[in-house]
Amino acid sequence: MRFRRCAEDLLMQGVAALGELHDLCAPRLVRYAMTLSRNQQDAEDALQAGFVQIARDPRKLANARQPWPYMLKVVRNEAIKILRKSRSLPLGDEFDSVAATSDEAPPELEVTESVRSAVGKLPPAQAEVVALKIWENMTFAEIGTILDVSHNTAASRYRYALEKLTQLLRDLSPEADHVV
Amino acid sequence: MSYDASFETERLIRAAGRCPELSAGLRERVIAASVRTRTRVERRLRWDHTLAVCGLLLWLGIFIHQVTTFPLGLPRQREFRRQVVAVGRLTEDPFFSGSDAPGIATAIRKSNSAWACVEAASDSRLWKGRLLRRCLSG
Repeated sequence: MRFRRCAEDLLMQGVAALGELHDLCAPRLVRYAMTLSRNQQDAEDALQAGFVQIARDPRKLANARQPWPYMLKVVRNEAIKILRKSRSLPLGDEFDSVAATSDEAPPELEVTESVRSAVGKLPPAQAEVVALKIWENMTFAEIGTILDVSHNTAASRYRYALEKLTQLLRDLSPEADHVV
Repeated sequence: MSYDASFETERLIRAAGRCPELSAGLRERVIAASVRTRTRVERRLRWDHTLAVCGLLLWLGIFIHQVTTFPLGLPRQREFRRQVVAVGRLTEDPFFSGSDAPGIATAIRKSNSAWACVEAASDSRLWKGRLLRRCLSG
């Protein structure tokens, strides 16, 4: 609701409302874009390009039936463009490097980095479904809309991703030992 | 995969889902780029509107010019042609052949037998003279 209000403010007040929109959603958008770009710089560039797209025509965001999925889709498209330009980094490099520096990190942070590293090892198509499903609490139908795939495809990508992640994270969670 | 395992995996991923710390100056950079783009778009829109208004005015000017100088209505044209043909038939004046529009008008005006038609045609401007000549030759 708040995001929709921000989108409408952007239409009414113009660029003056950009700051609030940024504060509201930038970290989440960067987190999502990182599942595709695998590094924060590219994710932030995708965020900037996405905001430029929105500023170019704020009506599209304000009139979107679901503004938040629309915004995610815009940033996703920009992240893919950047990936195509930069011929993407090998999968998992950024997450691995973050995890490798966490020797002296507290246990929770270590777990966090391990999980992120594991997510980084997934194919981007599966990683972004995981991000949208778990971090953005979206339904498979909404995910399908963003990714331009059917909700069944989104669900199966999620299932495959979860299987891989369970294997990768087996050491971290004792319950996950019951993998069939 | 067991339900417990996937549930635990989801829990771990959810717990690791904290948002990254954004780079310093990103906010300013994003907003500045967006504002710049918006300004450029608005300038282009204004220019497009100006061009559209100019085009409309030009079209309106041409339209008004046409309306005031051309007989747009078909019945009016037919009537004029009929009158001219009648004049052409009635007058045997040598001034008709090869003369220019004012000459034709003068010749028609001189013709007593077609005076009614001449009255209708005498307010003709140059284009009417041309039409007259075309009608007479055809």
